[in-house]
Amino acid sequence: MTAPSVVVIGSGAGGAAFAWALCQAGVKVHILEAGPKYDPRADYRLALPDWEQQRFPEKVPTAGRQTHGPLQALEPRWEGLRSWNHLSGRLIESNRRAFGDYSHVVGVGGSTLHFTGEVHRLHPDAMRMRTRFGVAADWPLEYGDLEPYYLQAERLIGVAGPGDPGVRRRSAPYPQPPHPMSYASQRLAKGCAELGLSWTPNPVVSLSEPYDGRPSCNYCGGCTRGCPWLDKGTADITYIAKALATGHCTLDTECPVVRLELDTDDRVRAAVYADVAGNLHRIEADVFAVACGAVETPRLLLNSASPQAPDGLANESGQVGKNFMETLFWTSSALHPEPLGSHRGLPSDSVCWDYNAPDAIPGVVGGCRFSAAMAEADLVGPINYAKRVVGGWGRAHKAQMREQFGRVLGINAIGESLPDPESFVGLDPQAKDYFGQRKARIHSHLSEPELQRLSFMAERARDILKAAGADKLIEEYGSYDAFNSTHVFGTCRMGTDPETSVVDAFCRSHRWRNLLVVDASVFPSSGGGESPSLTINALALRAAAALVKGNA
Amino acid sequence: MLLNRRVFFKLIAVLGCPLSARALAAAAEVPEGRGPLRALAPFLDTLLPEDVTPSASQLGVDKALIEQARRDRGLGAMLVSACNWLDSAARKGGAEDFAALDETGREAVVRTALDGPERSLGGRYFSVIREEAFHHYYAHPDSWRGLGFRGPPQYEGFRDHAEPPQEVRS
Repeated sequence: MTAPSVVVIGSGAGGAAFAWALCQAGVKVHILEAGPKYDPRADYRLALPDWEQQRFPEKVPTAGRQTHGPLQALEPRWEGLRSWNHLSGRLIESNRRAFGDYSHVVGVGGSTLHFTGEVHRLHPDAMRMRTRFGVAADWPLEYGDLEPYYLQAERLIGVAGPGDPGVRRRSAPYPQPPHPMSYASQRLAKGCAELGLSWTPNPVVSLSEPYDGRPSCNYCGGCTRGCPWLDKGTADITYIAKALATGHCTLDTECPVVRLELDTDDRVRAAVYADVAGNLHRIEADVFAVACGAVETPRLLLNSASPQAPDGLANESGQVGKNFMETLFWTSSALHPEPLGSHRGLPSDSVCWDYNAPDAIPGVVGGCRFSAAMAEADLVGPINYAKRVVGGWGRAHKAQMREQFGRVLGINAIGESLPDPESFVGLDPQAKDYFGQRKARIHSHLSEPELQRLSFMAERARDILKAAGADKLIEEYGSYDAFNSTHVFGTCRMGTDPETSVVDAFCRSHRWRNLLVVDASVFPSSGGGESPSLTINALALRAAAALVKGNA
Repeated sequence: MLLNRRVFFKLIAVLGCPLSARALAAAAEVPEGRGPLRALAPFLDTLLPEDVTPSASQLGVDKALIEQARRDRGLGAMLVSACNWLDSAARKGGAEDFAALDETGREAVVRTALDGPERSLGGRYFSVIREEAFHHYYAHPDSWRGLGFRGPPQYEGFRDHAEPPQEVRS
């Protein structure tokens, strides 16, 4: 193989978009992906009778890939934030926060393969958290700098969204009309209306009309189990497929990158990766882009320490791994007295943005948003109804299953996560992977503002369900008593000052000028609950455009 | 709940009386109605009896659990302990064993097992087995009749998702 100009490490939302944009400009790109390809028709089980028995089919098990530090003790004053189910009681019995899951997919397409498909532009005010509110850090760019790339990403994928953009001004409409709300979500809309809250269609990558050779969605509700219908615009069937089709892109799968080798002139010289048999190889290129996510990206950089970079690659500021922001979430589910068929429809088909601005929640900096959660809570099939909603046994159980199936309404809230000195990603002192590289160790701490925000999110979620007519709560869970995250950010944050940031406004290392980071590690703030994939896309597209133009 | 179940299975594998793979295979191959697991099918049919949809054993849930237990020693130990308890409870009432009881008799025994003191080890055993039974039973399309669930989700999807469910429309 002729040496590529650019090696991209990781093929999720960031790596895929970055590779595609470079290929469009004729740049030779080689993608190294740690995981395998997925075949949607063969690998996703939504068409099979046992579809509900497992969640997303992990070809590379993620449990145990990382370790975690000790988590905080739980306090009696936050009893109302404990996770529980009406049949089984408390879900976490200990009085210390438990480590659940860093939910991610190792494979071509990354975590877009199992996400619900929400694609949100960041609230413009969320990019000025330090200047306006004295927390987190400012983004070294404005919303207007990203807007063209948001649009580019939406058009490539085929995003279906509402006509009124609100504060997220648009230079052109969404390429696809919004999806109709499910019957169950229409009840949530009525509930919100009673409370004076808005409830609007959520922008998603599932198609509302056929587009670019893909069919429109058939509303199976199974997005998180992988989409065999091929309407969901995951990174593998959009950016990666298009990049490969240009002829400028090559892709090696099941090739985890072990470390990056450095040169003496502040340049990265090569990536060392393993093949399927475990043999190590080196690949040189002009430019290297790391896109492994906000846990594995800092891990790779820290494991690439050398005499030229004794604290880890690109860690001159000491910020690699720091400022770790997680998914602050709450989910409430309740039983409605009427049949709703709530197992049908897109997960998260609708959203309330009323509290999303950084100053929207009284007394707390950092916003949140609320969305429909029946599928997110995995209460869309008979097995989970039997175990978590109905319970019991015998003829009474079966009769209740027939009465209650499809009656759950759920609200999910996701809120701002602020950086905390006790939340960071480091290297485990002991645990190593097969290649002798230290595993990432996740440290998470919820500070007072987080807990206050979470409390607000829980109360409002319950209010919405009650107003929608579902006042029999059956299950609630959230971030308070268990770490569970899929959206993670901040560990290689961008900024103008090399003393306090890892990369510049174009995702380029301040010192290592042929090294970029193109994933959510670069976020200086998390936003008020927005799903990050579209912003990751936009940052990556912008970084690629700058690289091609020779800017920065 | 997943966290609890994983921990619980590990605990049982350590504290319970693990049934060796050979013994479990032998138990599974014993003619129906005999052996240490003879109470399993009638127990599962008490949890999930035949009504408008088949019973658990009619959908092979007993066989599925035994197959699962071949890979999971903790579950295997739990199944044998549970069956022993059911047979013992039946004998205390004068029956030969649990399978010999009529429906009312079986329900009475199961009620004692499942509705017993919360968090007792025995209560947890039966709760876990019930969950596993649900896991297999409701993965069978013949169990979905009457739920208003026209699954699996693909490749038909639910294009009527914006309308009231069929049971409301009809």
